[in-house]
Amino acid sequence: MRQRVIVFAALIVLMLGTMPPFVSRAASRLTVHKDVLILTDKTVKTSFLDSAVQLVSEYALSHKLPVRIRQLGDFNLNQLNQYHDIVYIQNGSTSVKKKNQFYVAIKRSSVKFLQIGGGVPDAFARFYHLRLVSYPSLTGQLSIGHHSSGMDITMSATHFIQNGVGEKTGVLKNTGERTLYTGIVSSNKNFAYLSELDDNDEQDAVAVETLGTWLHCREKDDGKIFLTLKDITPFSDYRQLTDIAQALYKQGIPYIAVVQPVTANFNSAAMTRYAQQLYFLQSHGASIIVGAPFVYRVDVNDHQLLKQLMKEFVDQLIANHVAPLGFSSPNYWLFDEGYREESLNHFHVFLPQSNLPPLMWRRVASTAQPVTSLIVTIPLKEALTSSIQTYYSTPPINYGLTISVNQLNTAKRIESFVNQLKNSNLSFNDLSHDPMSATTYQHEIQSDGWHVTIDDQSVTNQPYRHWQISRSEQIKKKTDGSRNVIIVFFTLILFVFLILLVIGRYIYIRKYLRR
Amino acid sequence: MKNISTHWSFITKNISPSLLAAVGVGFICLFTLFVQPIRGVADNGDFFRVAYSNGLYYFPNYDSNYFGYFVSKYGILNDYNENGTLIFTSQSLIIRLAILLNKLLYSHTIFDIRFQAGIYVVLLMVGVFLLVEAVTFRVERFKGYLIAIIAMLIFADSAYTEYFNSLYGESLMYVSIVLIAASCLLIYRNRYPFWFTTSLYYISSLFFITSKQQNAPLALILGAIGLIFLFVYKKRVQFWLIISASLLLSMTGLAGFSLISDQFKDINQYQAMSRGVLLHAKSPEGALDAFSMNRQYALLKGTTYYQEYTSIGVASSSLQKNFYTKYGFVSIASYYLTHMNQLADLLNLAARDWLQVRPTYLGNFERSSGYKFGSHTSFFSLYSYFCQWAVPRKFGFFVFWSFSLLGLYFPSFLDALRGKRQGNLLLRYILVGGFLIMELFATLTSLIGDGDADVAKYLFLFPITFSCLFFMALSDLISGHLFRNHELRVSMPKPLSYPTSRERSVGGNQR
Repeated sequence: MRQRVIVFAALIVLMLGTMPPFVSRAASRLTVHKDVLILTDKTVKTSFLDSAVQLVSEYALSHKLPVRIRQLGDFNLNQLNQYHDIVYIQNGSTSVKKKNQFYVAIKRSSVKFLQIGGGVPDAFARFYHLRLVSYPSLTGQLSIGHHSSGMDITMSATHFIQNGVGEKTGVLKNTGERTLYTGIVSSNKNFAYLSELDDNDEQDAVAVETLGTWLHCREKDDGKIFLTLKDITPFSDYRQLTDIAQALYKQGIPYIAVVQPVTANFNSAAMTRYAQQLYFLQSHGASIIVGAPFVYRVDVNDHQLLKQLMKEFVDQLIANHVAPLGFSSPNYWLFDEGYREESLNHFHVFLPQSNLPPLMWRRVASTAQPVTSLIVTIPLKEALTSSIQTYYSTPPINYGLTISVNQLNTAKRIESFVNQLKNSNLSFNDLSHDPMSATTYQHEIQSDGWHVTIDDQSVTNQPYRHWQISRSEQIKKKTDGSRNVIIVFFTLILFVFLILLVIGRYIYIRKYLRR
Repeated sequence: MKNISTHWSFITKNISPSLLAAVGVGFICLFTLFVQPIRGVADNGDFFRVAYSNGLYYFPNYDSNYFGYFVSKYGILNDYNENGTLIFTSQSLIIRLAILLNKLLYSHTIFDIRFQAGIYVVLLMVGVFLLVEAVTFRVERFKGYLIAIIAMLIFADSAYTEYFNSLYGESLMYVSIVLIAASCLLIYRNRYPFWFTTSLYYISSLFFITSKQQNAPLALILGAIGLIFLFVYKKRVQFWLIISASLLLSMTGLAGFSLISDQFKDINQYQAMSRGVLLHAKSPEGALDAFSMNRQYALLKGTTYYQEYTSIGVASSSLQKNFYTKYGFVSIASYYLTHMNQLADLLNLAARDWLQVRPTYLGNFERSSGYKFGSHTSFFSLYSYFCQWAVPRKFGFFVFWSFSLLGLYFPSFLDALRGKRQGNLLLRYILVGGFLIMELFATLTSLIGDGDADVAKYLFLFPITFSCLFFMALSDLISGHLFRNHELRVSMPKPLSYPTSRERSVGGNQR
């Protein structure tokens, strides 16, 4: 009996040991992970203008990790142990005393710590076996995993890793044959350092790799690439939109169309024309994502105006058989309870855009809860011209490579754009092919394998209606009324003419023929 | 009986109708603006430019008061003000003076807006004193007091005075129009010396045209009225002073007009289309065709520049390129010339709001007062309620009102034209005509240049000039000078000496 128990226990241990690693990681994450805490030097409201804050928050949220952002100067260091993952982004100045206390507290705690940019105290660097070196800027080839830039790029970061113990996520081979690093994660994943993010997408890729390794998320997801057309508004040139859609459709390139909502006159002919144009895009390979309206001012007493407007717009889209699959807004909306409640939470997919000043906060919250599905947006031009283009062919997270339709305003530009896509190594995915189910302002929208349904009615099976056909129908309807009048008028004249003819004939017969 | 007569004599000797009116207005304003619950006008988002330009800042949670509650306390920036000058307005002088007084008497860090209200109340008291003085000078005492009471009812109405507890330019507009009317009527009565009345007129006009940028074009009308003074003052020095002052006034108006920022131009242009041309067009798309514009812009029908949420930014490059460049003031004006029905609709729409002095969407109380969000006061509002009740809200009324007034005063104007060396007497009619032209001009430019958006606030000029003319007509009716001119005062003023009704009946009337 005792032997059986021992054998049974050994088998269980063996089974647990041989289970796929993601199961144990997922389980451990569920129990251990709390919010990812981002500490910055700037105030919370202005921190969102920092690209590093945006990148870290989007990465964590796309892996279903809640994010909290706080200012280091106001942060109570006794609360450090309440968090498991802490990212410190040096993007301003905090008092030296507070900073030193912070580093001491980090060293003493058991938290996982990642610093982005800036220097660290000597004692702290020694503790984590890290040696940093400062340069105003450096030129060299950057490698991320097995992807190499293959050509010289200039990094404007000021702090580089000279040496350190752990996995190097970004290797910079300087023209002077000197090797430095731009990202490192310690062997036990408890500590990581990342050079400042500047405007190059290569270092952004290093940041994504570093975050993936540090948060143990790297191999969890297979990312996808989506082509995203933005700046589609009710006032766009519809002929140009039609040309773009037809050119992409012809080449079999699916894309996401981020469409700006209408915010007034929902029952006008102009709204119908817009919806029909969007239907045309949808029937030519587009997945429709509703963009955030432009916020001119904030009125906290507006009785959920945004929700009402978005609902009306979505109702109009659905009435025209257009299925809104997601929502796109500036990244900071994720951290605003007002915007989340009234718009973002009603959609399945979220495409964050860059935060451009001024940020129109409604009800700022320091925490963001994960959205169902998040696609990180980067400019298409960067991806196509990137020295590490191969990196984007198998990305670790979902990327939406974005281009404005305003840049495609001539037939020549459209042709060149489509050719560029064809010749790239990138393979674009169809968002509507991904399984999804969402309740968007009381409408059930589902998609699976290109089959999109709204309130259980198939969208793709709807008869195809070209907006021009519809427009000609409208013209026909308008002219119908006047035609009827003319018909009645001519009939009357004919009738009168007939009567006069009969009378005339009668008089003629009486006057001449009877003689 | 003798006692009553003695008291009446004492009152008539020591308290003139003008003094009574001025003190009465001050007293009513004290209750309206300084005694709890104090009244004011809530911010619609416009305060920012004025406040920050003058070194004031908002306290936390200020945003929650927008539209509903007025705020009486602001922070004073004691360090460098990085905002610079966001707007050029004479209102800044009053605010800076109020801040100075606030620092001397109250606090260096917190600004109480009642210091500003105090300055405006004093200016209004001066204006009312002079206006009532102009219409009651040498008028029977009893009638004078009646006119003083009417002045109190009209000029202390809280719909006007509550603006004093706000950062809107309307406060200064109101006070300066009262002073302009008073100075013209004082010249008409030949009361007070040249330097005093003309300085008062030109300084008030200068404050008026620079109080709000949309008043700038009215400088031409005020400059033209000023030129009539040439018929009154005929010395060489006076001639050149009047010519230079009128020129300066007109030039300031033009300068003010050219200083209107691009953003203001965009705001006006946007709303001229969305709240003007498109709003009442039977077919908005047809109207856009007339301007050769994209028919999709019909979606902007009825929207304002300040809309909380819009499809694209109102200042976006797309709109700058495809919308704002396609039309202007002239093309809209010519559009209305060919669509008179639409213009008539807009004029009637404006007429609906002409005497709506108190914006319905802006609250009058502080949050701490306990009143509901957006509540309005009814304290001392008899005159404004009467106007809203009695005055027809049609453009036709304006036509009727203008012709009636011009007709009523025409005999006295003819009389003045026939009279020799009596240039003063022309001025009353010129003032009536000038104010009526200003009303029409302001209405038309506002409608063509900005549609019906914010018409209640932009047409604030209408109720204040209307009130001045209404008061003038009423007081002339009471004093019996509606159809005939007042007697000229030839010599310089002595200490005030008013004829009593008894003296008047014996032979006090010099006519």
